[in-house]
Amino acid sequence: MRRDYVIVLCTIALAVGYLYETLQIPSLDTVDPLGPRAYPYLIFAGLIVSAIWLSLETLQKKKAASRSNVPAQETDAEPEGRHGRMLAAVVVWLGLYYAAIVPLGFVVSSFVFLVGLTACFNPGKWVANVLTSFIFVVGFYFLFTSVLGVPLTKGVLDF
Amino acid sequence: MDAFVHVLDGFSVSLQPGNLWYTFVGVLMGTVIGVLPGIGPSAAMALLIPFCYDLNATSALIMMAGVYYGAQYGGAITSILINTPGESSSVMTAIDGYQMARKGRAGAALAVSAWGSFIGGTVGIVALTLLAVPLTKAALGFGPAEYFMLMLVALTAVFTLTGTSPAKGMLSTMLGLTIATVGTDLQSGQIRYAFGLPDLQEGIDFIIVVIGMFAIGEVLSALEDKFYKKSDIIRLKGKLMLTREEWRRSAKPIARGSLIGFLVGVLPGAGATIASIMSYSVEKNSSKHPEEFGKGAIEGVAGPETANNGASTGSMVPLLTLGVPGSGSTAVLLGAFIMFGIQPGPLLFQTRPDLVWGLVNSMYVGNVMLLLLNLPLIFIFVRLLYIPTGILLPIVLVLSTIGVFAINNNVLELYLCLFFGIAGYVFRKVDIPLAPLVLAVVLGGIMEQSFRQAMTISSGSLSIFVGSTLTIGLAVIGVGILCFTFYGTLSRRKRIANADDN
Repeated sequence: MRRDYVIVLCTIALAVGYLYETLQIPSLDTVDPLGPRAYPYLIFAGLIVSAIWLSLETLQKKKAASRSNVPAQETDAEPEGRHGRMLAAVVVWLGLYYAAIVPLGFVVSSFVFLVGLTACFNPGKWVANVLTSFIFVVGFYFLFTSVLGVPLTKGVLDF
Repeated sequence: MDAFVHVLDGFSVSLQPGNLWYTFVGVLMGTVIGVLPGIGPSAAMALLIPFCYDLNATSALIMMAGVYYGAQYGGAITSILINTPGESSSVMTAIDGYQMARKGRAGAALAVSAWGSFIGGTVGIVALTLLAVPLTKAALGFGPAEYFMLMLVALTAVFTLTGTSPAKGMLSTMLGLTIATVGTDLQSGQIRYAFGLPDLQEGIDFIIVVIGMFAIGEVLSALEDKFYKKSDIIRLKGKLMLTREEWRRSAKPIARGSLIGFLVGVLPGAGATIASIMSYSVEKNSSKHPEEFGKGAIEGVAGPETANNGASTGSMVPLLTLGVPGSGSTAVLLGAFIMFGIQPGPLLFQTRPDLVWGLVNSMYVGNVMLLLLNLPLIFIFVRLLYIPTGILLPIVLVLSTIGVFAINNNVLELYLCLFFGIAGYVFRKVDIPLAPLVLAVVLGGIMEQSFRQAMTISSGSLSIFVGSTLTIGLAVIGVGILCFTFYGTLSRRKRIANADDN
């Protein structure tokens, strides 16, 4: 329930930021009668209405929970700290992969990324992990560049 | 008569060797996607887009539609054999399908789901063929105000029916509409909400949002689930055949499931999941032996599996005839149409009948292919369940990277996609539904355009939105949906409060 209040606060913050950015749009009445800000104003109003609606829903849930003297339950169990750290590590690894894709090229960066991630999530099977990563990356590189005509970066392999 | 000729011409398009091949690839990939964990049909369709750059629009859309309805078939396999639905629409199948498998009737459960899916899908396509022409004729009279109201009603229906909280559904919709306004304002040429970043001046491509929210978000959730869930796979033994008694018990649920599936599928927001839930409850309530449900009743597999396929075909009706998708998956399909410079809707039936009827008729062929794939060849798909998710999920992440990078070779878009991936993961955690957001991202641009065109026509008077019978009717439907949702929420809370008092 506390997380729902956090969502409400975030929504209001986003709506205010959106309104501020909307006010920066120069109003050119010659383009259309209500101007370019009218539609974004509707979206701003929608964001505020959804925040109010959600806070009412959360209040009702809280009331129902207090009536039955049962502590309000969260819908999902929080991920254990270890899993949270694991997911954060995956996100950081993905971020590093994206940073390396142009300088190292698609083949090298994807291969390193896949070997690293499969080592973590399919542990102890080095040969299978390395072979799968290699076949997949090289196969897809040729499929995209040679068959489908979609260019992918060569990076360090650009001889 | 013209329409009949176009329908027949559609067969000549769908039966071309190239299109038959793409139908096959689509339904095959759909079945595989349905079986594999960590990736749903919306993400799969978005990931397929870079493979389509070299194809003509008809072949690409035939393939992507194949993935969409093919995934409904594959979802049943995991529901029945490992009690883990591959798709949300197969949740109901798991209840009795898994129990049948535990009793040694996995073959019968898979067979009835394949036959049910085939019949439900085919009935849906026939109904789509019959309904399409009258609906498009009616929709030809739509102006910008009517379109704006129609999209508003569709979005309202989607956010009230998707997920557990209508308020969170509305928030998701509003976030989607917010994302859709980023970039250059097409009417005034002004750049807005780009924060000085040149890469955002063109707006945020829907593929980035879809791949981030669905593919990366799903993979992050699946990686986490990997630590919680351990599934035992029930071995598939014997023939995939139904006994005479099982056929007799399945016939009526399949007939009812076809009807429920199609009708629910046509409604925006309802979709395959709600259709399968409705079909399950209808079967349970109409059964002479409701106590058997949950313990391996074949009716509990036949009805929902038929209904989810009927619904996936039904949801093509508003997409093709009105250009308004009713679910996340059909929103991705609409995005693909737009990517090829095609706007689905009534005019498309006049300007590109070959494409529309080629696509619709390819679904007949695709359903036959799916039946063949899912009966004699099901043993091959079952092997997919043994692929370690520790290898599969990282591969999906690389595929997502290709999907986004192939658009513009832009690293910033990759980071934007990662941002949406994290948002998708968080949204799943806090129960904010993703389908309304994606739908709003895809529809946002058209909606703004319709709004501003309507404003220009009416010289800025908002009364244009209640200026015709049609717009008034749509407004009444929209308000009705909202009132029904409010009433439903309040009465549920009252019931809970009364139950607590007693």
